[in-house]
Amino acid sequence: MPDPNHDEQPALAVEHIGVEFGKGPRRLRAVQDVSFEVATGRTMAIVGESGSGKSTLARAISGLVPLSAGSVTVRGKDFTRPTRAQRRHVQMVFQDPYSSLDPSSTIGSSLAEPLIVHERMGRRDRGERIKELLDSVGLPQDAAGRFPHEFSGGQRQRIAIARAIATRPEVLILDEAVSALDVSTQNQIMGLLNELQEQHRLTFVFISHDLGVVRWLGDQTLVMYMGHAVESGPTERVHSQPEHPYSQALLSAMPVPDPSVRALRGRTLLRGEPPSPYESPRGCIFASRCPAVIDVCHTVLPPVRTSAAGGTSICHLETSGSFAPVLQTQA
Amino acid sequence: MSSSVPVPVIKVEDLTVEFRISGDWVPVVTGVSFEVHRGHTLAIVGESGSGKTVTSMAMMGLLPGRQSRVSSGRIEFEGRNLIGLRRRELNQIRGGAVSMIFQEPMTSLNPAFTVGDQIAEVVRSHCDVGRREATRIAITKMDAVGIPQAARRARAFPHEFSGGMRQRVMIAMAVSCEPRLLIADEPTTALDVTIQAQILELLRDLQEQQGMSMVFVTHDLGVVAEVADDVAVMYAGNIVERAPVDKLFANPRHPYTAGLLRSMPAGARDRSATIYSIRGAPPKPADFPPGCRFAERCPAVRTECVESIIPPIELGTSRMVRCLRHDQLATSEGRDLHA
Repeated sequence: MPDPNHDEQPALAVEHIGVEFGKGPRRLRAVQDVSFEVATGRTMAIVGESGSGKSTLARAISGLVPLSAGSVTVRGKDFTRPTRAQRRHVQMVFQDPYSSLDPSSTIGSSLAEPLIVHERMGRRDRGERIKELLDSVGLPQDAAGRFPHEFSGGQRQRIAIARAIATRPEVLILDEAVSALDVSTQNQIMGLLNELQEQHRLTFVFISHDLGVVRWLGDQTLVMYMGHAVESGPTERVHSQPEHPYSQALLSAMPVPDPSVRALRGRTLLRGEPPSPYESPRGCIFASRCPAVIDVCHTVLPPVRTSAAGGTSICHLETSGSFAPVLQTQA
Repeated sequence: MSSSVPVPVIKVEDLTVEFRISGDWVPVVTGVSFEVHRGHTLAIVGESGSGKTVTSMAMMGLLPGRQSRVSSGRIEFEGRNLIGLRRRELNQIRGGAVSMIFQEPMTSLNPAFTVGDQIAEVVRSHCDVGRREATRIAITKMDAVGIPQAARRARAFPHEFSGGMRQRVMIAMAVSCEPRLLIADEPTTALDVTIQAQILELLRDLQEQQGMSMVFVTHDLGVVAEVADDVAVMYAGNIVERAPVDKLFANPRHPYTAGLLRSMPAGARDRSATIYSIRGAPPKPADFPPGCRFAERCPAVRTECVESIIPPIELGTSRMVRCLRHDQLATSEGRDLHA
């Protein structure tokens, strides 16, 4: 297998994209100035809490919501306003496998649909491809003749994944794809995603609020808060040495499945809740809740800082070292 | 240690709950026993369908009357059996000495009344106070759970609150009569992780101030590690293992518990390795097998496991496990069963 680093062209490039809903005083800027690249066969994980804009970002990349700014490029070709024919290159898997499959269609006809629409495949070829797809997601061949209600949540998510990869897309966007599943099933699906990525060199954009899952699957991690990418970088770096105060708070809020550390850990508890998404503060978006806030944060947009350990963070404070002590006193 | 054994705040003994499923009575929770002492927290952890919510609803007498019944067992609150109490007697206890919070705070609040009125109503029905005093208590409680500008916010309606603030309102209502037992069913599952951390801290503080006991129902082992003194692991309607939290995490004795703990995503991915997962899926109540309910998925299964009901096996005073092969798991060799 060729080294992905030798691929000059990223599978997906997102540049300065923005998404807005509504007009005038009801204008909501759901995504603002987000940029990233994902190399072929790699995973970009996007984390954030509800309302952070991560799902809107996913939909914008796949062309389901129009962009108000910026551009999307898939393997060097412009994907900013994808045509019908282009859409097959970027496919999505959603959180809820109960509502994303047509209850009155057999699994076979749900899987056939993208093959008819995008590949204009004949009946016989479709049959072959459907067998292949079921096999690759670990479902029995007789699944094709059955209906969604006959399957468990995990199996339905396998079906949704099979349908998403039916057209051999370049990029697969997984929006909370394992969040509705029980722990034991969740791992089965993550194992499947890992296998598919390895076999087909699929490129993933993996959106989740679950930091444990993100750490496992993501090569790169991007942290969103109120529509902004406040920090991004190699997953291990972002998780072990988060630099943005919001990333630090988010990671320290995550429950640790080890009762012996309960008493020991210093935790950054964020006070308050996110501001209204309709308001655009003049300065830093996180200033109203930031435990390390200084005067300039309220009035001036923070600069993009490059981390010595890889990635970037958007913050006025110099380095992680300078505000780490401030955070610890909050614990 | 005092020589007299204190009466537990809540004691559940051999509880069996049946649901009517297409005409037949099918047991969905069987032989569930546990007790919680004053100021302690028991976490009931399990996956969907394991019976953890049915157990907590049974404790509150909230199971739907026609479709379900408690077919055996006792639920003793401070020594008094709650099963078979009349509705009026139950209502004296519910919301007063025992109260409950649920996962979805929006559906548990009445959208047509202000939150202050809703909390005051609970206060008036359990304490002998007038309307004005009840409202004053409601505001004090809202303040205590960290709702800013409580007096003003008491006049707001549920839709004017965020998810985290609504859950605070629910908690204010639940603790308004200083309950001795709080049953919390997935109270932070619908919340963001930073808000979850706030709510868990709030519950811990309230518990410390009021000495209340908690039964905390969750699917999240991370949350269990944060809140629990003791843990009951439920699988297919049984408690398969019960233990103090540190012992459970350090040395699980049931293969299901061990499998759950190994399923926690930890660290970075090894692309060439396979991620651990418990194979298969849990059985549905109508298909519960006669022997061990985990047998079909168990890496350590033996013929004797599938033959008859696995009884609860006490390990010392504080641990219980339903597994014939629990000794194997205690050794490192046993842990390799899951490798």
